[in-house]
Amino acid sequence: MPYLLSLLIFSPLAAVLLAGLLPSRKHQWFRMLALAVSIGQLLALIALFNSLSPNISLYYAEQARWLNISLGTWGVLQANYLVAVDGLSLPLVALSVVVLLIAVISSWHEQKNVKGYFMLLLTLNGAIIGSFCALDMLLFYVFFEFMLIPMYFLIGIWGGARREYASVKFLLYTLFGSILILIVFIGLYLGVGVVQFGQILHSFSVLDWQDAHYHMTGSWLTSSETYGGFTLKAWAFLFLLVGFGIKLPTVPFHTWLPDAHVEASTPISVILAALLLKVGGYGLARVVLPVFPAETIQFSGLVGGLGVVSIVYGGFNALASKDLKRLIAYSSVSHMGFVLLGLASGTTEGIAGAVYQMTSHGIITSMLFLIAGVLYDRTHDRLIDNYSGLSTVMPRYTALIMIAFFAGMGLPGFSGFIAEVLVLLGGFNPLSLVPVWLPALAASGLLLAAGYFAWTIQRMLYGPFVTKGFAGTLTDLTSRERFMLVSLAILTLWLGILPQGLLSLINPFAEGLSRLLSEHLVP
Amino acid sequence: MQEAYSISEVKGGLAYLLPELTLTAGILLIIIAGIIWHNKSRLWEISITLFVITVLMAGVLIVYDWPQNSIRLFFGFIQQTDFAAYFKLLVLTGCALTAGMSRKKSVEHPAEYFTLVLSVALGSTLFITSNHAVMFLLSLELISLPSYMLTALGRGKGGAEAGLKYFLFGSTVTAVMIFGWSLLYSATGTFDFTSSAFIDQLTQNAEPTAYLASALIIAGLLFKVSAVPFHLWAPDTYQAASAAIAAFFSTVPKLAGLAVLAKILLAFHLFGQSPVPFAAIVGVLSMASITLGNVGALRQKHAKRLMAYSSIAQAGFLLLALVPFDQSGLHALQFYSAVYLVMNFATFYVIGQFEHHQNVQTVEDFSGQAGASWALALVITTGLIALIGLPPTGGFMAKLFLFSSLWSSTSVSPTLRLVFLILGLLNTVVALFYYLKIPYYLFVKNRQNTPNRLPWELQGVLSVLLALALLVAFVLPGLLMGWINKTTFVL
Repeated sequence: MPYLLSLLIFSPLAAVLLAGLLPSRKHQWFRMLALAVSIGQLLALIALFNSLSPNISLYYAEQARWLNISLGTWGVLQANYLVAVDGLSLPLVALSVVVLLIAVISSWHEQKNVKGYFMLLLTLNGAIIGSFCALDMLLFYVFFEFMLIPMYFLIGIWGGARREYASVKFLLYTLFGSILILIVFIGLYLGVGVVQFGQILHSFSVLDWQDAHYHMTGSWLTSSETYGGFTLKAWAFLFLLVGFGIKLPTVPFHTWLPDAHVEASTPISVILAALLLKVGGYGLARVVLPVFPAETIQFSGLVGGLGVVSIVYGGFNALASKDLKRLIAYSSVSHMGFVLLGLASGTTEGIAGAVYQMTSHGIITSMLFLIAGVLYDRTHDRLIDNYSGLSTVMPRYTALIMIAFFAGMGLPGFSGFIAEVLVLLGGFNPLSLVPVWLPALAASGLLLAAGYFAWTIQRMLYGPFVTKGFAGTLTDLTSRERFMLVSLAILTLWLGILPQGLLSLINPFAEGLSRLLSEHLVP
Repeated sequence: MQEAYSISEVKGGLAYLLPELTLTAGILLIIIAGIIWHNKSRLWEISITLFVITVLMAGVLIVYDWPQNSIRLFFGFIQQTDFAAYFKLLVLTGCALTAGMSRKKSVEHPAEYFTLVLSVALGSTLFITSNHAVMFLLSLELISLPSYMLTALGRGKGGAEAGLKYFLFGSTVTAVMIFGWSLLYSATGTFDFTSSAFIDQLTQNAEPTAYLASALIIAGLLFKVSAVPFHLWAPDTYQAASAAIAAFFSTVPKLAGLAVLAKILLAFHLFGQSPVPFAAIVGVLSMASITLGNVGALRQKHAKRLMAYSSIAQAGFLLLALVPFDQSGLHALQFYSAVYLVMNFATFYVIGQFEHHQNVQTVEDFSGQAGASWALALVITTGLIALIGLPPTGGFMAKLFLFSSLWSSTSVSPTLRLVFLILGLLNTVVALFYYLKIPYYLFVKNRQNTPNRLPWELQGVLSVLLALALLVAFVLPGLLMGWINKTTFVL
């Protein structure tokens, strides 16, 4: 099946057009349509995994001409519809398909403007999968930006009390980051020239960008002039770091995240935390490290340091959060710090751990936000202090909270453990690019996570059951909620107990990137 | 070389002036129609028919007689080039779209209205091709005088006030420009600003008065394109005018002024020999326009006033395309101009319809109006997303080409270039804030009662087509860019 990726990307977008034609009264039709698309994507994904041929680096590559525009004296602009998956993107594509399916199920009882909601959700679906599949960076950027507007409306219309503030803040932060990315992308495609048929082709393909032979002599990519103490390449690296760092998010660019998460409705928080944050980490691993290996080495301390600051600062903030959703949001900041640290280490284990962490965090954080959503649906109250003794009235819910929180703590047996151990191993590796005290500090982040999760369990689940500050009855999980939480719990346990399958998929990518970085080490 | 002043030169030149002659004939016919018919409704139908036929014929003639190489006519008064032809086509498209937007009910004097719009069109086409100070000033006045009247025509007291303001500003600027040209004449001895004599004289006898003169003329053109620091007239004028006329002002005279500014700047630039750093100056002006336009727009509550500030900021982006002083910059300018025309009209079309049917004036009036017409709400969102420069619209491609040409230019120092690039793109974030206000009120804000549904009419169909054009310009920019690439810019 050669067009599996296009099918994954465009089936939701085609469904948007179809949904546009359906009458808006028929709420059930839109739900069924979104569910059908997601199940179809899941089947396509299974087909994709079933026919993976080993020993190649890019699976299911598709290429078609998109833009080929003569730009006068300085060559030809070329951008292609180039999609493929590899050890970095395939886990994330799989994660997206699963999480988007969960999001559709979680949105089942959405009553407000159902047509618009599912049309935006489907648009977001296509954009997310597209941005993980695109190897042509103009295409990537288009999908990347295409996520913003649907997300803005999804937070702004279907969100909580302060949704308007949160949606605008989300949009401004992310657009600011993406502008920095665009500046560097323009520079990159103009600085990279592939000579073909006597013409200079300025390509947007990241495969061309990371090949130093194509960096044109005399362009900024080969010049060593410094501006403000840094070469232009170093500036480009920093721009991209900020751009993707906002998305990730890393401290100090994380302040949009707690607001957006708290105000968004449950399924939107799930998508935001599980998938949109991953685009930041994905961008770093896909573009920044391979295209700027020397700068990655130069700034590895900074990148790793930001990661560790995020781990610790996010952890302390989570500890201090009174709102359950805010706590989960800050735990995301903390967990995504491991991605930065793993990438900065430049070792195979570290990079593999970073990719593993992105996948694992996507599953765990989806569970966590669903858990917060379960309570909020029943009581419209998210304050941790208002609950106690939930274990007596909601035993099934308690069991799943336990699993999710233990997974969040990174206990052995859960996927987070594998990821964090790999990152720490990568950091402590003698070949690591980061000083050894950084992973040591990061390890203390694990303690913080244990602290805030365990404390929350103690406050909310144990003790006598009292109701204060909220109305509504606390009933145990419905079968719909149980289905979502149990399937995610199985996934995190599976990835925690049998990591080899996913790791063998990630490893070629991690090895390749690590080798590329080591080639640029000054002996 | 002095051409022979002969009647045959004039007669020969007329053959190349068919589009302009068609427009003139159209103007006369509409005036005559205005004398014959007095029934307003009948007169409206006749005038708009004549108008549309005239504009279509002129457009067809331009395409049919596409200049393969540059032709100088009437002793160098006029120069037909494919660059000029491209902009003439844009101007005529703008006029046609304005007619599509105009409403029988809100136009009190149809014959006068269409005569004036056509006069601006004629003035603009002549202005774009002008090659000589006299032609330049005459055609500029042919744009300006009808513009003043269009602002005031049938818009009551507010319109009269805005028209007078515009007139006072405009006539001062014209006086300043005449003064500039007279100084230049004394410095060079010629009015033909693309002739070698003009450029040689300026290169050899560079005098301060010549620089002052060029500053005065550029200032006048900046007024026409409503760029900072000569932008103050735009918000008042747009707010007072009807949506159709505001859309018209923000595109037709602006694009004409821009095409001429490109030509004049290249002449003053003296192929890089001028001691004045024109590229840097234009860059700074463009940054000022973008920033002040955006910052000004942030505070606006009135929809058309907001669009006026948007058009100031967009003028800045268009000016930025002049900074590289090379072919690729001008190609980016041409692409941006076409996309700007479409996205601006798409937005104004929807504003006009909401204004007419729902009496929407301020941004807040848009609250919950998406229920009145989902299609139009989507069209205006597309238009505004394009104005921000986000995919999947042609606005993104336009900004991509613009910033690419800037990045690879050599006309300013690398540091300055980088500053322009970063500042220009970061302004997009500010722009996002105010452009999304309208979709925000449309979709996010609720209202107590459900709005009446908007009727489907010609305007609605045209707005959807404009939004589709923006999407096509994103997916297949090669269609337009391939054509633009064939045009060459010659002085």
